[in-house]
Amino acid sequence: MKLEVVNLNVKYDAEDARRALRGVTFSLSDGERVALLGANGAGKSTLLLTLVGVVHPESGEVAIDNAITTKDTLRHLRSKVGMAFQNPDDQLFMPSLYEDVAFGPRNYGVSEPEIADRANAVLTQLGISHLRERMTHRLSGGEKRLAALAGILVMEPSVLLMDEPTSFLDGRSRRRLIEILRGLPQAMLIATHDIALASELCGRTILLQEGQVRADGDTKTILADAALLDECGL
Amino acid sequence: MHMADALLSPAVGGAMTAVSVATIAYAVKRISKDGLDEKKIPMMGVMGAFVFAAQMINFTIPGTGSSGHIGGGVLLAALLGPFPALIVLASVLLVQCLFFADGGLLAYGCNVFNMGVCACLLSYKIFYQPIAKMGLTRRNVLLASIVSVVLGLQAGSFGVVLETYLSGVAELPFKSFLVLMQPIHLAIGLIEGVITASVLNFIQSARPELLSSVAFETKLAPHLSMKKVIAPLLVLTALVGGGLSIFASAYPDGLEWSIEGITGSADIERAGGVYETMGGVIERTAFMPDYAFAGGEGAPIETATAGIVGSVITLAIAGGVGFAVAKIKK
Amino acid sequence: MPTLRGSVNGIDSLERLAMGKSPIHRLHPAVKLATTIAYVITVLSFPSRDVSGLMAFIFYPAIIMPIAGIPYRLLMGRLMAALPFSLMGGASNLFFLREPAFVLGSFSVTFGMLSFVSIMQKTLLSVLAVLILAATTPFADITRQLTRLGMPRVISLQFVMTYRYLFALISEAYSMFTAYTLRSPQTRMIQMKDMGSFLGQLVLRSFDRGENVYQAMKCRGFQGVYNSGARFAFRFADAAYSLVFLSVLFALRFFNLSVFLGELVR
Repeated sequence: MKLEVVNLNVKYDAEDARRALRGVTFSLSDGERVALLGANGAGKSTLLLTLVGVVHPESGEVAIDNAITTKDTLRHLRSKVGMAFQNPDDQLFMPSLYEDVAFGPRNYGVSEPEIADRANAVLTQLGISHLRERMTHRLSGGEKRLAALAGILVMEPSVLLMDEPTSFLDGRSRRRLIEILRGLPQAMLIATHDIALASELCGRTILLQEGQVRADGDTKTILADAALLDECGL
Repeated sequence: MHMADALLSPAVGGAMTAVSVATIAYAVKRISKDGLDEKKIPMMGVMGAFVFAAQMINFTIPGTGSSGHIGGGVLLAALLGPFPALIVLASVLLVQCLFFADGGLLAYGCNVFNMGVCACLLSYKIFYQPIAKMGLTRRNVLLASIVSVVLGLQAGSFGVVLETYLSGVAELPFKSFLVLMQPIHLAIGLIEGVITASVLNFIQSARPELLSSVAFETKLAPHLSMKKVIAPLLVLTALVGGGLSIFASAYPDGLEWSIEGITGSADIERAGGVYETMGGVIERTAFMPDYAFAGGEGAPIETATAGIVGSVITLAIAGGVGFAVAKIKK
Repeated sequence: MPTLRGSVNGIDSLERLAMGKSPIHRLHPAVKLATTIAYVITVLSFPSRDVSGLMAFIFYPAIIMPIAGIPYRLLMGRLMAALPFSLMGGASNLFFLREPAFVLGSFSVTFGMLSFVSIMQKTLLSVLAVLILAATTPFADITRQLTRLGMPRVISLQFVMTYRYLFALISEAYSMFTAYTLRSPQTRMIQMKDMGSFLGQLVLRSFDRGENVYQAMKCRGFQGVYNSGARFAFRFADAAYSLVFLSVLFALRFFNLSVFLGELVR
């Protein structure tokens, strides 16, 4: 699996001439875990949303396994690239957890027995199978994060995009999430303010500043550069 | 304005259910045709939750010391368009019916019509849109909101009165009921109209693009005029509800009438006829005239006492059985 | 604002009840839906004067409520919602229908009194029937069943999502409300002049949430069609229950059990 982003330019909106992303270029290989750092407004969320086809770039391309993403191939892209949104509540839109986990596969025509198998496997993997029949609105913050993650993992993606996964989590839930993420085989791109998460989990970091890639390399090296971090508002 | 089941006859309830189902089906077709449904669905879902929550927010009515809450039909229509709004209200009413008994099961069709169709479709289309199309100024919005909310509520409460009257369960004199309902809903309408306007104006200043896309929506398909659809529906409602109810009042119980038609026996021996139809299983009861079937005539006191005594016994047995079942379950 | 908090708990406890495992719960949703509707229609078809005939219909809730484990205290709140209308109708009948139906000793029972009792009976029975339905069938199952009966999927998804987001919206409204009252100590409710911005804010937040939810749905392959998944198998128990229920319903509609028992006693 290879995700390639070439010269991505994204505008804020139709009238605004400023760019949310400028000339962003990088690639992601199988199993790589990359942290996406940057101040608020640097463009982290925009980049993730563009990768999953929710935001349309003005120019540039996103390709997965050499297949360039177009409007027609979005569905295919989304079966390979799963995104966990900033607010898990927006992502858990079915009344019960099981129904929500089943939502994705059902849209791709997976058979009910297989959905049941996949769902049970994922829920067990994340340690939340006891919450199977629970109403989604009754889940705690940490449980919601895991539930949202379950809904994505069940689609068997190759790439995982996560937007601020540890926000609103208490210490224990945070630790649990990091452990789980560490055990997942997928390539990951994690937008976060949680520097500790970046250094613990991700070998590589991409640093964004005002829509541009300021640095792309070894996490420890980048995090050690205090001047650079300061410049980028971190 | 939620109607409960008890004052409704099956005929009127059934007729209104049919009307509401037909209208909702039409609304779905219109939504699909306008090509908006995919994105609208989550929006409608969330707005349904909004209406539900909004209806729980009581506000103080200045000068009266009492409180009230909004219905939200016209507001929804102004935000989502009339057809999505109808469906949203229908779902809110269903949740209210099932979870809070706010509105009966058979009365669901009536409630969807009185509170949904009247406000979201009729009033919005006839009153709000024309004024709003003249330009979304604060004044226009205020005028449009008040007019459409007031008239929508008037139509709705008139519907309640009509449906109750046609059901014939409660002997509420039509005029008196009307004189009671309409002024109350006029007052409520004025207030809700003002609130609707202030919400819309708030949104207009914060996110104007939300409103203008709905107010200036594409016109109806040329071969289909709203009035052409609604008018026949209204006539149908009146005919079905009124017609069935006329049958009902000519014969005290519409069901009795049809049974008589089936068994072909006269009033007094009807009891026997029915039991024979049931295969004689309960034959020994065939000789007991059921005073309740005698349409309006005074019943002999013996059966009346039997009825009362028997009712008490029935209740006692039911209570006992229920108690026993509960105990066994433990 | 008691209603906001109370209603969330109310819905929650009902849904939790609905996920029970009693024989009633395990019945097919179509059966429960059909029998409830048939029951309500039958109850409502009784003429106002037939009070004793309607009495026997209390057997249904009396037996089913304990089997399904539904506490009677749930009835109270629901009756509160249904009663005002019924009381008004009943009172009006008391007033207008003065013609005596029969005389008990020196007391003359008017048709008005009979119909008042009848209306009260109908209120109680119809509320109980819907309570039983709601307390034994999860909302999602009811929706799924309606879809199977032909309700367009656009609507079913809408229903399900409204239900899902009720809690989120109510919490949001509640925290907004709390913030408001903390800053306006002189009132326990929203002042009319502030309703515009209060509700307006809530609308905007709802719209944003709707947008986000839509995007999340697209990201998981949503194409406008809602697949509700697993089916309920129709078992022998379902057929048997339906048959028995409908027969008894039909029988009791025409056979006045109360009068029969009363006659027996004499």
